[in-house]
Amino acid sequence: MEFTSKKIKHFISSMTSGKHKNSPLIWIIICFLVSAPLHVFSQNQDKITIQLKNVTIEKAFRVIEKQSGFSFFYNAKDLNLKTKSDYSITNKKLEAALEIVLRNQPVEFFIKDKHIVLSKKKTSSPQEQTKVSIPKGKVSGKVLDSKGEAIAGATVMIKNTTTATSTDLNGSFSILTTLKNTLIVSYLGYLPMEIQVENLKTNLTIILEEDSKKLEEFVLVGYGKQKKITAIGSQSSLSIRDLKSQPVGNITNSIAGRIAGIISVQRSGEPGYDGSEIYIRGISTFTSSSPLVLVDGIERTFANVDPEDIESFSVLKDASATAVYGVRGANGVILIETKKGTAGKPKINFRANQGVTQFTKVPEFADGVTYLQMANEAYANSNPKATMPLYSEERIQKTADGSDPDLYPNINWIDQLFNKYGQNRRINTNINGGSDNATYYLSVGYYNESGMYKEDEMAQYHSSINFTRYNFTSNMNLQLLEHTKLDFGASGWIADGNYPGSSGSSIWNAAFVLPPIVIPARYSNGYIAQTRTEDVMNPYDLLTQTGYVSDFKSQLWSNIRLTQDLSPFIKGLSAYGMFSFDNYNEHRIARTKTVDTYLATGRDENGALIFDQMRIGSSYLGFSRSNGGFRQFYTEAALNYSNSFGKQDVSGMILYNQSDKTDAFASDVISSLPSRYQGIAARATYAYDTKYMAEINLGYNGSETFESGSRFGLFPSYGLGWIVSNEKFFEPLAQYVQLLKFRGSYGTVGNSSIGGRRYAYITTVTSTNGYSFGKTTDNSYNGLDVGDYAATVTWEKAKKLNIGAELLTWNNALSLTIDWFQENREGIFLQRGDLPDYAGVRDAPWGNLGEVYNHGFDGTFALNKKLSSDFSVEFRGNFTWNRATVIENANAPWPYPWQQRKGRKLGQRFGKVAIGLFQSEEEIANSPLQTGDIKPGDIKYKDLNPDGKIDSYDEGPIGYGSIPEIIYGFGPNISYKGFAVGAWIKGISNVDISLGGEGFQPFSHEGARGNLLSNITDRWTPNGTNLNPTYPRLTYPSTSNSNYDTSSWWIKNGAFLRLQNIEISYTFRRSDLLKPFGLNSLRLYLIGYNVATLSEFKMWDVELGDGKGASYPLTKTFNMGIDCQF
Amino acid sequence: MKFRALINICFLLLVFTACSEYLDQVPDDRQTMEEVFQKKQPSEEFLANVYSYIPDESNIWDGSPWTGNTDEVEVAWAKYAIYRINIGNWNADTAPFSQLDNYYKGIRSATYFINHIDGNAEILKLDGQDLLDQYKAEARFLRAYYYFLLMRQYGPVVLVGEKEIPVDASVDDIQLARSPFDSCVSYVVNELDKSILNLPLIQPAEKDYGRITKGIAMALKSRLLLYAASPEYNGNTDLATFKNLDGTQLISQTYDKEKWKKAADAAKAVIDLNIYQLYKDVSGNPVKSYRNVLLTPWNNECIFVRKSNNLSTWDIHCSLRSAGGWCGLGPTQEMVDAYFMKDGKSIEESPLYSETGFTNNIYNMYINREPRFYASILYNGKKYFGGNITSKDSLVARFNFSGKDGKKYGGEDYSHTGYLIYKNLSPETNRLTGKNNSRPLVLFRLGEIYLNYAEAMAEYGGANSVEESLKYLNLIRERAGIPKYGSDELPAVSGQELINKIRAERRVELAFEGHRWFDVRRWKIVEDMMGDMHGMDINSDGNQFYRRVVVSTHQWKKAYYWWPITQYEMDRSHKMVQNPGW
Repeated sequence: MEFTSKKIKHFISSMTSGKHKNSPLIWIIICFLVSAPLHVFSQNQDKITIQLKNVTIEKAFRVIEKQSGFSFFYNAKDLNLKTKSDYSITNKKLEAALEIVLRNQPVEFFIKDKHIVLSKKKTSSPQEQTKVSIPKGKVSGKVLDSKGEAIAGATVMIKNTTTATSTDLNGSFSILTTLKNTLIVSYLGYLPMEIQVENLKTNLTIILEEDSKKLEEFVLVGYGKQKKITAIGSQSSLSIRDLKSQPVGNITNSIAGRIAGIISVQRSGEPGYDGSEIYIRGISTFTSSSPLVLVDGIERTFANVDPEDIESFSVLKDASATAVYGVRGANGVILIETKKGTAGKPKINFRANQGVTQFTKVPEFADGVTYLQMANEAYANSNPKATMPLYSEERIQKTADGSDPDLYPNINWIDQLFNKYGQNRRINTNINGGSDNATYYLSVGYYNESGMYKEDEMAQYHSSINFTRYNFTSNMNLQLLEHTKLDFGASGWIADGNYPGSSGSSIWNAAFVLPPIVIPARYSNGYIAQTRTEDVMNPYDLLTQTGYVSDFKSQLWSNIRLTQDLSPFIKGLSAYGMFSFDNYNEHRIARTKTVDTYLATGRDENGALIFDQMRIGSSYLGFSRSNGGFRQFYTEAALNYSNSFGKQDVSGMILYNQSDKTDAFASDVISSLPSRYQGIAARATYAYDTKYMAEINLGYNGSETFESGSRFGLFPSYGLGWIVSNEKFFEPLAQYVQLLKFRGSYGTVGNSSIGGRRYAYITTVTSTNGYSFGKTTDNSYNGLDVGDYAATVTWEKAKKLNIGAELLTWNNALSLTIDWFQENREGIFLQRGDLPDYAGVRDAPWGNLGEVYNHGFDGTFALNKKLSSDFSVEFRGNFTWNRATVIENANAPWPYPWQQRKGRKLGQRFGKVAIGLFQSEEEIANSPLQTGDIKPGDIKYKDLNPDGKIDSYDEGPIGYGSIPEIIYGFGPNISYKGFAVGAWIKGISNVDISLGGEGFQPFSHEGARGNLLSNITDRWTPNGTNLNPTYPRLTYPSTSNSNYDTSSWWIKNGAFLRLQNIEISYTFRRSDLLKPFGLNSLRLYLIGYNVATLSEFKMWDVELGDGKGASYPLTKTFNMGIDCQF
Repeated sequence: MKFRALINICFLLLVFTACSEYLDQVPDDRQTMEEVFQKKQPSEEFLANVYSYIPDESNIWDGSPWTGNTDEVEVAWAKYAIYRINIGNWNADTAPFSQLDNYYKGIRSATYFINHIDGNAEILKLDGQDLLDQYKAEARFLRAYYYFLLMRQYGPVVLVGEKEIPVDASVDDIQLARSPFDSCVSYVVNELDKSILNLPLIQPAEKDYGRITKGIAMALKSRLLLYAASPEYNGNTDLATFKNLDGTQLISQTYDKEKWKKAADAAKAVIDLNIYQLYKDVSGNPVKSYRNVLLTPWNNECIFVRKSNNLSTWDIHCSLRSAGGWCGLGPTQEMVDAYFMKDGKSIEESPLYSETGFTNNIYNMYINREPRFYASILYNGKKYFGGNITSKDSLVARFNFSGKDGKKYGGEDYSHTGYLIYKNLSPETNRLTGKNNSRPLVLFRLGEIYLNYAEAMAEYGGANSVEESLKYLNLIRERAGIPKYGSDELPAVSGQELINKIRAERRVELAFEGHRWFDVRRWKIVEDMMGDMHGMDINSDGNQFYRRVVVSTHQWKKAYYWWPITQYEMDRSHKMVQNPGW
């Protein structure tokens, strides 16, 4: 409805047809344009004569037009068109005739050129009304939605004036007005409503109708947005409210189980390194499965974005949604938009919370006495002829009574290393506002988390974990010219982490390797203890005595976008250009040292400890530095078109983009070359009568990593949709089902993440082991060899099919979305696995060789019911299941069918099949031969090939794998008046944990190495009653037989159900109490995160997965917070 | 007009940047294979890569099994693959220490070098054709050597030939069968003869010491032909059914005596070069002479050495735990018993041998043994010279249960036999100061060639053979400081007895040098020596310690003559036949 002066002529002429029904806005503009005086018509006018009976006024207009040669020009809304009247005019001037004809109509007229322009009669301004002493006073009331819930922030405006106010938290408003005025009440997502003020009421109740077709609701799609109702692509979005309330530093951890279609696991809780792995619809390839993440349209990582700054978070899953991303889209796409400002007075939001953190579950070690007893038992089992126990009764006694903790220590290493509690806190303040021409959003965030590592109080430095992050975000949106918009965003973060001098994994590993009875953390005289074997470290030494590492990271994002509306030229056409520059840096300074360590070997005559010095330490902190970082340029330009022709909606898009990302600290030439993408994307959509939809998406793009000539690929996708509920025949059902929509898509998307081998089309020279010559001089040569042979390769292709259904029922209270999908990933980058060794190829050549079939479904449901004006209940949930199967892995077939990888799950585990424990010597004698020291109590395996012996040919598929196939989440939100209680439960299933590794496997290296978990007592014993214990017969070392081979015995169910979130909040509803403090709203809340986990796996936090649990566990936190708006 | 301008800009942007150059950014001046072979330094680096496959066999705990899976040594750690082999827990699928992929990579690199080095502009300009020919000969030797290393482990092998197998060929197009062992031998000998033509007798410049010489190629030929003449490969009718799929016999079925002649000639040819001599210490002390053969770098007995190696870690593995070592490589009682007495007789024959009582607190078993025993075995009570983290004084080994080096507090670091290897342990290695004595690893030395010659002559028979054989056997014994055969103390021997004496001498002289595994196989005596391995009773203290007890059982099956062809290879090579028994 905007136009330039240039177009007026055309506009006016089109209006003169009289068929246009124009909005008041046009009239205002016209009036504004036409500044000439009203009395300008000619004296030589023809006279008008009308004799009409019982006709509408329009009929009268036609007659006048005929007689006068003038045209009427009006807005149908302004006239009373239906009423039929009699018109009798004889030979009157045009003006006089019009006076008569329009007598009962609420319009006035003026004449210009050959036009009779009708406009609504001007309402006199309040001042004027005062003059004529029309009663004036306060009108107040409440704005509610159809469910009776107060709408806060709704605009209440007096029609044709600038007087306006907005509703408070309770939906209440009051406004000074006069009688006969009209109030317009509006709020986004609702149909605006006009109320005639008949008398000065103070208890108006205005109920806004929801805009039932939700035409306002848009969803994000690749390079744009679409009306939700007619969108075809499979897309799901995350409730931002959920995201914001999580007391976590890394938002990747808030995704799992919150959104249909995402498979995600978190493997560590170490602050700053606790991000989750995220896969959209599981893993479909042997190469990189990471989805493409776009923040404000630019490829970026989102782990450190402040959730407060996120406006929307969407996941694009099918080909229809992702084909436009071409070679980058095969793994799915995550779209994140940051917040923009809205016009109005500055609104300040403030949110802060503070919490305590705790480990969810820490592995428990056996105490020293148990360790000694178990070692003796294992030793006796393996050395039946031994005359004396490994550890004497005296030693066990001294360990038990703690009389000499220096020589007979009994240490729980977990207690030595960790505090019980840590803390985290988050503060965010943002402000937004602006005028019609410029809006802004500014935000500053702070996050701090301290870990649970202990420190040596004597040390002059801090070695415990402390992670602090500052975020800032700014978005400016300027209406530069009438049709030209400029958006500018700059955001970034700074993260500062402090860590112990030794890596977390080495500290944890040391705690798993060092038994409880060898050395204390430090001797009574303060000496740091150390064993003789230098690969068994004292974890306390590693944690507290090795200095510290300071880890500084910073990220700066900037993007600028210029949008030009081309509607005046072609209606519905617009264009934009965008440029962004991102820069990331990390800077790590390690100030590490070693201290003197000692081993007490005994006591002298006086009882003083005798020490051997194990290590001569360094006296000061050393220094080393490492850097990393990248910079990225991105350019995008596009033309968008969107228009309606009657019942037909059409849209189109064509877009060019290119990106350039350079590793700023590359270590070789190849990796120093920027990674580049370049491409064109296009889309055309068509919808008829909001019933039938069709869509074509195209991506045509390429990556620098492929050979010239085969760089570019075309990725098309097609989609169809049908809204059944809009059909005529559906009308009888409309009261039960408000929306029923089916949609389907098919298309091809690519993946060019080739996994380390860039420029596969050229043969590389690689450095290898060299060789040394020379008698006295050292004449050493580096080695050179052919690295990778050239191979013609291109991107992986994913052929994706998606069929979805959307349902809205129970008076819009229940919504349900289900998607079924299948995907064939072809041409997966793999190295040839079928070349015999005698070919002598150093690195097997790459090729587009692999193929994976993936299929599954995901769904979302939401129930939203208002039980009374104060009481509402919401229940939401989602579910995702996928299974990927290997079709081709470029390898030679295995000798036996059960060993084949093809046709099996991607990530399938293989191992021996345990069928229980041997119970007697006879059973062993009558069973297939197992190598090593086999006795009753050892694991009995199934002879798959049956050749009478158990070996690697008997390894078949066992368990699921480490990546879950099923992930789901659900939770209620109940609010009553100001109180609200919400919870979220996350579940993961079809996943398992493979146990293994030193510290889990008892006595894998005999003594001196290898801790024991406290469940070690649950083992097989000759006269034991437990026929299915955790551990088989203990042996010393445990490697003396096949008990700890990879087998189904050590595969444990990794499914769990986790109360991820529980929140209680109170929102103050009395605005009169808040106003004195300048507050618009205030909410207080308590939140618990990772509060409880239900799983049959008990040894460590089940989400950490395979191995022995030797990594920083996940944390649970309890936070309280405040959330207010000024 | 604004929007029109904007469209124009967008369009220009599209056209301007859409040209393919944006993605065309691989720099032209990066190193290519063609350039490597036009320059001297990169060509030499390529050759160094071919050299790098020369095995560093100092790592006998988890690098190579030739010592720990025989009757020489018991390796302490069950975590290493040696243990799995000793308990028979291996098959073609899991076969540890497989070298097929490794040596064939070396072979391919050598072939690539030979096929590309011709016409190297820079070498031709600086040094001329001779150096080019020499480098090619080095690569040719190395390729032959890697074939030899495969043959000793796997028997008959696939000979790839002069061309590299194309990497993009279909699997069906690159199928090759194994060649009969004798063909493999001929091929390797022929290749060695070719390389000998262009190899220097000695490296003229000290900086090139360690490069391949004529003597090295000839020494390899000697060892290969000795193996080829031995019963395992020479008319071994046990392997009558060991054939390719097309019926080709892989091991010769008729004994050919002349093979011994070829072996003898090859060994003699090395001796006749007259550039190598047995190492003898200036003091004349035979213990020092024998120890320092391996410890004195670049001495004249060494024929083929590997300059860079892992001997510093060897030293730690052989060191006492109380000296900061890991106490891990324990010679078996069988090995200890193999050493002669100082009268040159075996312990069975010598009146000096006793297993009762002590002399100066040393068990009598260790008294009156030959010098090589004292140079090679660290036994309970022997003084150990080496670094210690608390005391710089000399130490005494204590392997009994509660001893400072014993099992009780050793975790997994204790000798399982009550002995440690002392041979080739550098006294200069010091764990306190962190000093490692780096020295070349000896791969071929004249002592072996003497024994090769003595054995081949004794087996071949004929005129002068016993005299020639005894001459070189006695040269070894002379250096070892024990009486010669045919001297006043010891009678001369001949026939099978001579052969047995040579084998006994070889076992002792070349102990822990990686020969035993192959020797017992080619002699076909391996079945007699495998099985229970003995040591002192490390679970006891006091005199109880000095009892022979079984410390482990080294499993033996007929299949173990050779390594299995890996299942990986079997699945990919359709003409490959598996080794017998696997």
